[in-house]
Formats: sequence, structure tokens, C-alpha cells
Amino acid sequence: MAEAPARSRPNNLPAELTSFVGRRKQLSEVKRLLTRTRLLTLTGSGGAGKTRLALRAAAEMARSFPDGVWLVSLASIDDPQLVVQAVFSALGLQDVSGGWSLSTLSGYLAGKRLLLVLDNCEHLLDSCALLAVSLLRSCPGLRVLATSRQGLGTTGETRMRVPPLSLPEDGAWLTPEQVATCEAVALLSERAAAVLPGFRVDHTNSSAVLRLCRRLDGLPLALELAAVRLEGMTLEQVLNGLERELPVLARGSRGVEARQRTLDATIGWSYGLLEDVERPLWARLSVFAGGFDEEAAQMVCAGPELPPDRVAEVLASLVEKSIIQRDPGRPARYSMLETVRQFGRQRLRELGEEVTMQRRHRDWVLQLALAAGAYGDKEAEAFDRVQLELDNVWSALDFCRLQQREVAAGIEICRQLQPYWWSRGPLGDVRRILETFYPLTAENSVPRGWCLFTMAMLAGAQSDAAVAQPMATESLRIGRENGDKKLISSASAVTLFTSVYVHQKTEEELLRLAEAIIDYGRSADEWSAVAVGTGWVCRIRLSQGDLDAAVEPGESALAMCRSHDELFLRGIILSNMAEVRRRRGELDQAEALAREGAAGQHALGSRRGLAMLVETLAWMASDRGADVRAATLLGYAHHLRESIMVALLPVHQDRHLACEQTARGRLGEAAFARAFDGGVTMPAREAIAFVLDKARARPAARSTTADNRLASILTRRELEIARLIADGLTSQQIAARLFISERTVTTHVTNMLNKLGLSSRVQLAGWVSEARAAAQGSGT
Amino acid sequence: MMFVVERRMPNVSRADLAMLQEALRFACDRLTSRGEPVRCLGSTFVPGQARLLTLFEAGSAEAVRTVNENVHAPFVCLEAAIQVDPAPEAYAV
Repeated sequence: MAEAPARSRPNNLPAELTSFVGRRKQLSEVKRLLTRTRLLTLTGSGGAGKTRLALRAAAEMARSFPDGVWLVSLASIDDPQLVVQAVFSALGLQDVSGGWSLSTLSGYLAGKRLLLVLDNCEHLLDSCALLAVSLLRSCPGLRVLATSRQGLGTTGETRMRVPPLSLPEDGAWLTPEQVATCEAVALLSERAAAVLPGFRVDHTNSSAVLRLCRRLDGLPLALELAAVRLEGMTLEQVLNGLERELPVLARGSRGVEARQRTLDATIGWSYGLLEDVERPLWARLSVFAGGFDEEAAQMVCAGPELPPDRVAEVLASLVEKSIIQRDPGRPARYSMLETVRQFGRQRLRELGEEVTMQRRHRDWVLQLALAAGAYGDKEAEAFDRVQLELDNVWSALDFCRLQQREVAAGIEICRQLQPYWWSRGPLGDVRRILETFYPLTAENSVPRGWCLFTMAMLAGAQSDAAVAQPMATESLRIGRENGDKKLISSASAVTLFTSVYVHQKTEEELLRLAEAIIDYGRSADEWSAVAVGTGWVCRIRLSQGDLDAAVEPGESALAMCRSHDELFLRGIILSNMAEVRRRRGELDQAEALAREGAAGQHALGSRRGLAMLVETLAWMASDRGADVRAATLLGYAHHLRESIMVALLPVHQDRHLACEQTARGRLGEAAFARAFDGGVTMPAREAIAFVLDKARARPAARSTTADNRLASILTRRELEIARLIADGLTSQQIAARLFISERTVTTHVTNMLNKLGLSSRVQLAGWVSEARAAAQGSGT
Repeated sequence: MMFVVERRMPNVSRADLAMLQEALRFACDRLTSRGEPVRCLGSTFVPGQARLLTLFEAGSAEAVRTVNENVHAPFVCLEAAIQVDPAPEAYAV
């Protein structure tokens, strides 16, 4: 396949929120080493700026990797067995296969040329080392850039130590101008100027600035924490405060441990300067893994001393003090550097609030799970929310596993999220987590019954019938023994599901199970249970070939789902009803139902469900003689299956082959290949429109696209420079206008071109002009 | 001491099994180099049941658990095992 042009290099690199200062030498070295080694680990103490350097290098090298550069953040992952999952998520893949996840990932990456940035590996060294070695062995086009406090310790690894920012030698006599050019001073100065406009290093303060930078060992994080304090404190006050926190260290004792102590002390000093209401919020926010939003912070962290309506204000204050970062986008999302988070966690323990906050965090995750499992009209949004908060979900489940009394809650979270897991995975990891819950439940207890139900559903989703069926049977037995009607209903559904594979029950037995589900639904006023049971009656009739008897229950179940605007259950029923209509020769109706199902699966982000329906539509197109459409749909279905690394189900192989051979025969080899490849490479939005048979969507107005891209991708400084370029200023003029060096301007321009996939200043000026025109047109 | 670890590995190929074996050896070597000896003695795969049984020699179950948690292949159980080696005279005629 031809290489994607540089402008479309995929990536998930976060936008830089602040300027990248210094590190010219280290950046060049990282880029040089990455051309020579396939595994490069940046090492150094906490707060040294390893992540920032890695991300900057990855962004500048993106053009060298046709399949993109991908950041895998491991800071908030504690379970070594979730590392592979983190890579799947970073790559935008779904792991719904039944195979071994590392092998699946390796197969996906085998033919790709991309860069994986494994960030924060120090607490998962063995797991990361093995991942890197396994993938590099089987994927010749892969390179790995890791950041860690120590090397991964594996053959073929090149390590590069990231030192603190440069400082002049002790005792050297320097002019203020010379002081200002030191990297550490440049960072402090730039960050200070952001809170104290006009701050610059001159003869009145250069000595104090240098002393402060030395005190903080040139550590970027420590410098940033100190710089923001200059808004309300003088340099001397900041220095005096730090002197009290930091013991005087002997000359030469500037090793890694000493720097860690400096960083810890600086963070501790920052904590001590906070308002009374800010300190507990910092500590409580440490329970979040991978970020949080305002609503989550309110729900988990509010208390008598911090009412919910004050949380937003205190969050903003912590952002100003560089304790948390506010990520761009709507709604606002916040994150905390791992070093800062760990400090907060320690404070939480000291306050005696750790378990209480973890429980509240777990309750918040349970709310997310309930919304996702509600079979309601906000299903798609709820699924998206869960995906965004996956790190928090794993963290909550880990808490439940470690606290004996919380096991039932952990099982409930997994159970409620079952439609989500089904649609987006990762099936294998959730099964593994449930297997750790299982022995912690009492024999014959309802929680054990639910654990088995969920395990059976997920095993069935992975076509692991041999495991699913006995679990389903045992779940049903426990439900009956306890007289728990909801469990009986759900276990009946999963028993029906597993029976599809093993054919061990008679039609009467199957119908009785379906009736039990319907009866429960009616008695408990749960429409979803009635729909599930009724849908199963349709499926049973279909499998018996009694098409006429399948129509009424199928239509009835569909009507219930449509009236509640629900998508997940509807997708399953639509799939069955499309087959009923097709077999009855009602092709128009069959196609309409399959398209409705495809739209729903797309909205839910279920690529597995979508792949199946697209494949079905391909067969239907072939039946109609629409061979180009059939070949294109086959290509798109192939692309979807590849992105989730599942093969076509064996039961569908014959029809797939028949469709492919027919289309190939009628079109000829070349035309078939063109149409098929067209389906594989079609952009997602266009592909869905094609599947749904809508008129090709008009591309979004370029100016709107340009405006959105600029605002969401570029930093404030970059935007500023881009606008001056559009105004026709040269780099020299821009440097003079902004009081920065010409080299800095050039660096910013290079970064912007890489981020936007452009190749010249002229193009950049064009983007900015269009964005301005769009803004003027919309009155903004 | 001996330990056996069981995994369910449906849809697995020979190449996957070889990759896993390599991963287990790698993980064992790492732990051993840190002063906690663990040796992977080999695996047996039962295709009909998609079960993989791997035998280890180690000082503790925890060491074996650490190795197996790092190879990104979930396991269903880890148990102490006894290797039975009948003496030659048991077969004397």
C-alpha cells in the first residue's frame, strides 16, 4: 500500500500547553539515536522532563513514521497485565478477539512503521521490557521510545540520561544576559513571565534567579512550581521558603536521590503554601487515575469544608499554581503529573481519608457503569464516557479486588458495563479481573451468580463456548437457589446465548428460558428484559426455520427498543430480523434493517457489530447484482475486522466467499481490487455514509476545519506566531516583536508544520487566514 | 520447588506458543538475574481443550506469579506440583 502523505501521519500526541524551553542538545541527540536504535529509553529523576522531551522528539520525527507516533501513558496503570491493553487503547484499537492479546497486537503491528512512546515505565519495568522485546522481534518497522527512572534492562536497549536543565558552573562570573541564556533560568523566566507579565532577568535579580535555579537543581518541574509563586511572592521570599524546606546539601551530592529529595521538598513547599481548602482537594484528587472532570471532582472530593459549588473555583486555583493541568477541549478535563499525584496520595493517607475517597471514587465509577448498562437513550454518550475514564475504571476495580468487602461492588461494575465490554472490549482483561473476583465470593451467593453471568457473557462474546456454557448453567442454578428473579432472568439470557453454540437444548427448553425472561421483565417492569426475551423467541424461531413465527416477536422487540431509543439490544435484534426478512425474500426491508443496525453499532463504537452488519450488507448488495458496492463493503468490513483483530466467524465463511467470488467474477480482478481497496482505505465518515447509502457527505467547510484544528492543536505561543506569519512578518520581525530569539521562532514554526501536516509557511499563513475569515463570518 | 501454571489459550497458533515460551524464559531470566531464581521447565499444550500447562522450578509461588503476570498472558491457576520420576527398578521385569 502507498505511504500516507506526511500531512496525514496519525498520532495521539497531546497538544503542548506550555512552551518547550531549552533541551536543544538533548532533542538532537534523541532524534539521532532513534535513527540508529529501535529501543531508546530516556532515564532520569522524577521531574527532569523526560516525558516532555520524548513527546517533543516524537512530534518532530512524526514524518519518519508513515503509520504514526503513539503515546502510551502508563503512569496510572498499576497492573502489569494491563500494559498491552494500554497500547491497544493508545492505538485506537479494540481488543475483542479471543486470542492472546500480545500476539494479536504483534500481528497488527507486524507490517507497520510506527513509533511507540511508552511513558512512565519505572513501576512496570518487567512488563514493559517484555512488551518491547516481543514487539520489536516480530515487528521490524517498529521503534520504541520509553521514559523511565531507570532503563528497561534489556538487550538492544540504548539509554540516554536526561539531565536537569543546564546551569553555569559554581563560582563562574556571569553577566545578567549570560545568566538569562542558561536553560534553567530561561524556563523559570518564561514561566514567571506568564504569571507576572514583564518579568525578565536583569542586573537587579539575576543573582537571585540563579540561586533559585541552583537550589532547585535545574529540575523543570520544581522550577515550574516555583515560578508560578512569583505572582504573589518576591524572589527572596520564594528562596527563603525553599531554604526552610530544603536542607543544605553538601557540594557534589547532586545524585539522583538528592534530586528526588529536592523535587519532593519543592512539592511539599508548594503544598504548604496552599490555602486550607486547596490542600485537601489536592490530596483527594490523587484517587483519580488518568484524569478527571469537574463533575467527577465534585462528586468524589466535595465535603463539609469544600462544598460542591466551590470545587470549580478551587480547581482553577490549583491550575494556576501548576498543581493540576487543564487539558484543552470541551468539557474541561484535568490531570496531575504522577509525581504530584503520588505526593497527594501520601497526604491522603496521612489524613486518614484514603479508603473513604477510594470508596467514593468507586461509587462514581459505578454511576458511570450504571449509565452505560441502562439500555437507555444516552447509551452512546455513556459508552464514550466510560472509554474516556477507563483508567479510573481499572483503578476502581483494583480497589474492589483488594478490599474484601468491595468485591460485590466490583462485580456490579463489570456486570453493568457488559454491553460496553461487548461493544468495545477488552474482553480478555475483564474476564481475567472477574476471575480474581470469583474466589472472593461466597459459594452459592448472588454475587458469585452475577460474577459467573458476566464471565459467561464475555466468554461467549469471545466464542469460548466450552467455558461459557458451564458458567451460564451454574449462574442459573445459583439464581434459582436464591430465588433472585433478576439473576434468573439474566442467567437465562446467557444460557440461551451459549446454547447457540453448543445446541444442547431442545426448542421447548429454549422457549421456556425465553418466557422466563419475559415474565420477569413484566413483573419487574423492566422493558429491556421483555425485549431480550422476545428477541430470543425471534432468534429461536429463526434457527428452527420458522420464519413466519419469527416476525411478530422480532418486530415487537424492535418496537420496544426503538421507543426507548436504545441501540445495543436493538442491534442484536436488527441483525436477526434482517436475516428473517432476507430469507423471506424481502430484500428491501432486510437491507433497511441492516442499515439501521449498522448506524446503531457505529454510534456505539462497536466495530465488531458494525463489521458483521457491513458484511451482511455486502452479501445483500451482491444478491442484487451491485458488485462494486459489494466489493467496497467487503473491503470496509475487512478493515474493521483488522482494527479489532478478529477473523470472520467460521459460520459466515461460505457466504463471504460466495459473495467475493461472485463480485470478482463479474467485475474482473482489477476492478474488484480497486473497489475492495477503496473500502479498506475510505475515511471513516465517508465509509459510514456509504454503508448507510446516504449521499456522500459534503466535506466540512475547510475554514471551519482549519479554525478548529488551529485552536485545538497549537499552543497559545504558536498561535501567536502563526498569526504574525499570516500578517506577513519575517522570523526576525516576529522574534523582535515577541522578545524571543529567531531560533525559537523557527522551532515553533517547525512544530506547527509537523502538527498540522503542512510543509511551508505559506500554507500555514493560508490556514490562519481561512480561520480568521471563518471567525469573521460567524461573528466571533 | 515445582509449580505448574495453567492457561486457557483458545485460537492460539504454534507461533503464539513459541512466542509465549520465549516470553516466559525472558521473564524468568530477569527475575533470576535479580537474585530470585526461577526456571521454566517447559510447557504442554492440549489443543482439544485449549489448555497450556507450564512447569516451573522456583523458590516460591510468588516468584512464579511475578513471572507469569509479566508475560501478558492471563493464567487460570498456579499450583505447587510434584514431579514424579519413577526409579528405573520400577520397570524391572
